Amino acid sequence: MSENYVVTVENLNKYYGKRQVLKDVSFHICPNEIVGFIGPNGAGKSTTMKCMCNLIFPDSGTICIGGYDILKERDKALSCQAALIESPGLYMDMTGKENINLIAKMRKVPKERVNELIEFTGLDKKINLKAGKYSMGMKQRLGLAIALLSKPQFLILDEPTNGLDPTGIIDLRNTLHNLVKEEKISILFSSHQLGEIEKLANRIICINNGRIIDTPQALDGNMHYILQVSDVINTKKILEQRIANDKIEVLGTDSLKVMVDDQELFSESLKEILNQDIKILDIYKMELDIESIYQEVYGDHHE
Amino acid sequence: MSRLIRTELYKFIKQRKNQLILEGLALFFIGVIVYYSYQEMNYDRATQKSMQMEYDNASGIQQSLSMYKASLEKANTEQKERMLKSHPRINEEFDFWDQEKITSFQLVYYYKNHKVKGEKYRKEIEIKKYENLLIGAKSKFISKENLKAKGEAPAELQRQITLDKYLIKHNIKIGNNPYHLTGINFLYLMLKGYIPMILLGLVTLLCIDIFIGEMEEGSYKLYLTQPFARGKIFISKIISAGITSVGVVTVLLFISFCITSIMNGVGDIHYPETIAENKMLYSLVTISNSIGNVKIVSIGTYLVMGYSLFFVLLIATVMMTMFISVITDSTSVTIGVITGLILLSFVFSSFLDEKTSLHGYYFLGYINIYNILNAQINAPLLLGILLNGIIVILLFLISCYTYQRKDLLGGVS
Repeated sequence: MSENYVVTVENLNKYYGKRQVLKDVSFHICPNEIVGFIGPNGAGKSTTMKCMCNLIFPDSGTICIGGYDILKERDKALSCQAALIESPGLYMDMTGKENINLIAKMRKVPKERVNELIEFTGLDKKINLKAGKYSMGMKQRLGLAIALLSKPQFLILDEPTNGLDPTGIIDLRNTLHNLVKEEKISILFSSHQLGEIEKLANRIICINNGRIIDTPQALDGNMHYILQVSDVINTKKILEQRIANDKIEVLGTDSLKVMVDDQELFSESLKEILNQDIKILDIYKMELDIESIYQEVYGDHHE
Repeated sequence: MSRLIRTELYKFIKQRKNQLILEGLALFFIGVIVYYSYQEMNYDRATQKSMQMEYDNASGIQQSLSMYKASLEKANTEQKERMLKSHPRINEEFDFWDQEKITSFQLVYYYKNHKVKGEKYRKEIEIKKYENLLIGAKSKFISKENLKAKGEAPAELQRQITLDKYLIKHNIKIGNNPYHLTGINFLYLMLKGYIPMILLGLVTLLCIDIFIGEMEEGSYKLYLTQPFARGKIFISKIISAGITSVGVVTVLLFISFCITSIMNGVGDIHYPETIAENKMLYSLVTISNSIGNVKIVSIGTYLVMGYSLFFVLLIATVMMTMFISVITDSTSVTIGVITGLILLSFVFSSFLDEKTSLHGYYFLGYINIYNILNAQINAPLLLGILLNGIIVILLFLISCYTYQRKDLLGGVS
């Protein structure tokens, strides 16, 4: 199974002096997946991401990017990924174009790809201005373009919306959606803007005090439906033929909650329910209210 | 690797701070040329003035000594004994100051009359004056500190006597102005005094950003997440630091050499110069009683030796800067420590007894290149090269090991 993941992080532990900042952190990321990484300040998000970029060495645990262990095969693992950690990390005395060309020459990126990404930044003539004169949004776009130079399989974005105005945030969101569609990239991103996570992520990983905490079902990347039916017992039996038992929850005398990870199977089940003359009184998808979920999760876990 | 080195050099050139320091370095070289040209113009007048002062000083002391002598003759036995305690060899002391007065006067006369008697005459007078000063220093008629302050420390006087005697004996055309900026003389003067120390400081500033700059600016997050081994990145940074430091100094020296050669000619590469005797050059053990023993070599040999030591020192200082910056991730700490180390070499050369072996064991103490080559401090040239070479290798290995294993958390500005 693990070979199907773009990223596998297993039992990551990290100490700063005597303080343990990461405690057995484990998670995986699937191809074409956008994963939100949330947690309060100091929870361990940036440390995890820096470990994934090999900027920080974990005390124990493994990180595989594109099937390569980053500690043993740094070059190969890093060639599968790109990262924007906290800030774009540009050279402020160089122009935007020089920043792109610097990494392009280092990585032997073809000129066509460079031009394509210069266009992607949308900076037009400003590409010849020094990066120090750019707004935060321009820097982010330039940083993203540099990150994409080598067509990575996986992108790490640590708080990419920091310092962006609303237009910048919308731009970034659209860009990331397009990237997943067009370049088939998986993305792990952290942000404090819960609304953005809600709009962007397929799945969310929560971390607190250096430990990954159980992701609430509502944030596990699956669709959750509430079904109101005339016969709950038989409906449950029909659903159980195609959906795992633990994903079905009876809520009352006439309603069930179903966690759906395969839409086709769910559609087939619905057809079967109707064939059995069971009336479906109502069906609706549960909307995520990430803010209240966040409060629920971190309300419990804040130390 | 070559791609990484090219990238590092490109980053170096593009940095505004480095461009400013390069401009500063170029101005420094121009400043040195202008300063020495000014010194050359004023040399005769300044030397005449200083000789006049030495003459006045010697006359004054001699006058008071003659009064002392007169009162000594009139004094009773008890008074005589007491008076002789402060001037036990009053007649010799009187003769010393008399000789100092005469030679100073002869030199004043020489410069006042536009050197009509020729350079050879000046050298003969100078030899007499310096030999007399050495006697005075030995007999404590004049303090060594006093002589040192005038740039006439006993070892330097000994060196000058040896050189002057050689020039007269071999009938060599004597340069009439030590500040005359031929190409060769410019290279020679760049190794004298505090100039090597200032150069080291400036070059250190130039290289300081190679590691810390991107840690403080945050660009390490972009650069160091590229798929290259950290070891390779480290080596490329060290090589580019070496290229930039040695390269910049070499290019600026070469340009200045060309300018001064065009202005005043290349100069004679075979002109005699002094260096310490072999014992001081090749012995790993510093021998304090060898101080002052010098031999004659061509200025070409002198420059090869001097610049060998200078470039080894330059690389050692750059490596030390890299080491501190890798360990601390802080520009201010690195600048502080390096400035402290360079200043310590100044303290050593200015305030420490020249015979102490401490000079030989402090790696940056060798920046007093002129004093090292002429054995005016107790530190042999070869030990300097070896010591600094070992420091370069050791610091390289420790820094490389640290850099490959350290957590990159960003810099502290």
